[in-house]
Amino acid sequence: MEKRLVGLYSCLLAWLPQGFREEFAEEMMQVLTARVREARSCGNREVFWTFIKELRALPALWLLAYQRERRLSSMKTYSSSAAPDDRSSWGAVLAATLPLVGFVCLFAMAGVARRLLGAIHLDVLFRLLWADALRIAAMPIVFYLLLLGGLLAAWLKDFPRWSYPYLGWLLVLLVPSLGSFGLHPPYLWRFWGPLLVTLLLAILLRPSLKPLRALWHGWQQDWTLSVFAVLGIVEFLNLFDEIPGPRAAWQSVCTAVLVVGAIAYMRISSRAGRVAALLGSMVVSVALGATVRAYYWHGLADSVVGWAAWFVVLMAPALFSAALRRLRPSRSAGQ
Amino acid sequence: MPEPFEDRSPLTEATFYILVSMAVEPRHGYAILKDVKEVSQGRVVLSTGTLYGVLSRLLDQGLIERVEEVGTEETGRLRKFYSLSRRGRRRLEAEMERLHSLVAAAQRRLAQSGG
Repeated sequence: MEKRLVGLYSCLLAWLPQGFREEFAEEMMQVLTARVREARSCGNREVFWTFIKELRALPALWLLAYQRERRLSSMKTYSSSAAPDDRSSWGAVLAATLPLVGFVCLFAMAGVARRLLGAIHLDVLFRLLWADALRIAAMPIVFYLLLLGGLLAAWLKDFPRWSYPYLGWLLVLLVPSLGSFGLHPPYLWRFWGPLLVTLLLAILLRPSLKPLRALWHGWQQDWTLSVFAVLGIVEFLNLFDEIPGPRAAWQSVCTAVLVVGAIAYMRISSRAGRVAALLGSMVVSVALGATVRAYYWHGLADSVVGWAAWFVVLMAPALFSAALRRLRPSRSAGQ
Repeated sequence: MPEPFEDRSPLTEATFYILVSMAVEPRHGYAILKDVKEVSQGRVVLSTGTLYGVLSRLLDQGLIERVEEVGTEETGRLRKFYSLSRRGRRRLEAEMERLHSLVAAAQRRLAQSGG
């Protein structure tokens, strides 16, 4: 009977969370075995009642162990994602700036291809994601695949800091595809199809809610990440889509300013320096773009009110995150 | 692990006895169970589940530390011993003070009513 009871207890311990089990289950089995052995000297009835008392304590232990596991796991998440004042590696800097640089490169490539092979319209090959309503010269699938690749890597790595510009750029492509910008329904599947496939792949490779939790904690902990994500949106808003000729060159200059801001954001340790780098690069880039457009259109094409409205919309997540953090200060780790 | 939260709430009876049990020397799980029963004069009999629930919490709070030693039993398996940390000793002393002041307050009131 003793062996069976000990075996049953061992099976019940298997329901404890893995971390707790690895830390304590073996010891618990040793203690239980010793208790049962001690009770044996008083007869089988004593063994039985000892075992019943042991069983009674298990539900509370399960509850406590799962709470502990969740707490430790969330602490691990906090420490694994870059702390707000950490400096990123150069590899992370490269990953963060890739969508910004990638977009302008492909934008320029499409222009060059059209100029060289205008009659053939080689860029048609890239135009699987063409968005007529947005009048984008070319939105090559290569760029979209780059973003989706970034999303996949971000999911696998719990959405580190470098992944935020990818999220910003994905928003640029996905929100208009919902129809709010007058995009035709046939284009919807071109955006959402590959995205859903990527998400499915990410979930298959890492079936866990941890990446989403990390994303949520990252946004809550460091509001500057929301501003960082906005860089991609600013690059898009700055498009010289109707200006022929040197548009790619100007686009490159404006993007270069944003890239410098992104590099500074990733490498500067102080929060104030980071915010200054992001906002400074955005303002300079937008001002440059507005100047070129004003020159082309013989007047300011973009109203100040319009840009102010965009600024409020784009900064809303960051402001909301900062307000949330101020209202609900982070709790002590031990609580 | 970050600096644990300094908890000032009263200790439960089981937690108090477990800390008391480790105050003299490091002990392993079963020895703690037996000692708690002995110190409490048979009033507190911990189950294995309760003991390890409390031990895990005390470890997280930094009130106790784990010391590993090779077991002397026939199994020869590695046995984990637990000892009171400096922080745990401070916590235990604070709790004793609290209990003393409770008892003193009750004694004063009883003396007044008796007199």
